[in-house]
Amino acid sequence: MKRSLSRGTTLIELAVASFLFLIVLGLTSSALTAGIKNYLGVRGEIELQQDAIVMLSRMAREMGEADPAATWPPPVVESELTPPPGQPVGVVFSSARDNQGKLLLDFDSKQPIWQKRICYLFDPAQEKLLRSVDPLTVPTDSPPEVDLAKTTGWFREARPQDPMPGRVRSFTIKVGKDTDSFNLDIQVSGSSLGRTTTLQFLGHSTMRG
Amino acid sequence: MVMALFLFAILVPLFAGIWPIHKRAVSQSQAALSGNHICRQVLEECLTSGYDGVDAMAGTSLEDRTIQLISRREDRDGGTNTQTRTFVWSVEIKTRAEEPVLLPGEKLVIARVDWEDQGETRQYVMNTILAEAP
Repeated sequence: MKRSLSRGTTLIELAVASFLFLIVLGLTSSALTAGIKNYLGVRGEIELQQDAIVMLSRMAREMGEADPAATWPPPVVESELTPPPGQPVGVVFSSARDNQGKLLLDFDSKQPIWQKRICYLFDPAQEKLLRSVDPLTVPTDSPPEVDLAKTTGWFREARPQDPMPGRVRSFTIKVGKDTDSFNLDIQVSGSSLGRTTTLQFLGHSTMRG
Repeated sequence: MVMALFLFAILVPLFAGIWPIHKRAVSQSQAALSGNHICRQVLEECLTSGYDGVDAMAGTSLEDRTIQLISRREDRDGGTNTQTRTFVWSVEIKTRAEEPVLLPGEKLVIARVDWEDQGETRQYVMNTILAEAP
């Protein structure tokens, strides 16, 4: 009987080839899994970033248009802006923008005509930064004096509040080298697929009102 | 057997080489997205400031134009990864005198965001035109 010249695959060769194939497959699948995990993590981080950037830039812009003399709690150089005990962490300042967002200036002097007080306060229970507005009874061309009754606590109790987007972990304002210079620190967090991401945004605002 | 070893020897270094490229690409795209968000937000603030108020945005100090972003990632197994990036935004306003294509009563607003990424300076630029209210 004539034997075939073509040689088959031995069991050992098959086992080695399968082993190598499994290693390559493992590497491929781990790369894919890591890629998907990264994509989901980045997507979550983007949402957090959008929220925090909106909060930070809006607050910095509004504070930049305010007058330091009309700010509550009174700013103390190089220290945290800390309200008295019992009052929520936050800041109250004046604004010369009307309800349509238009900056009102005196026609002759080009000085702002102050319209309202704005309060940003942090509610740790809700994990939210809240924005609240109190219109002045009579708009004035000189910055309104600090009203010691209109604290962050008063705004929380007496005025409607708009929650800013995002889950805020902490919010602090530190006064810089001058009383018109403020360092803003907002931390937002979120979790997905067992991974917790915390983003800390540090910004600055100089009151030029 | 020879064929399998040959394929293995090619594929493994290939996969090993992909990892650092992938990690760098993810990191770069994250920074680019942050830059994009900041740039868009700055441009929106310019629109909010309006035709008369937008010039004040261009004149803010470097300190006011700097945003630092610190991101911390904590995994289930307790591993942490912290990354710090500094973004500096700027606004340039051009009138018809500098940009002849503009019509009278128009301002060209250019918002820029710069950041450092692996030793290189990256930039994002967005433009818009603001018109004077009638």
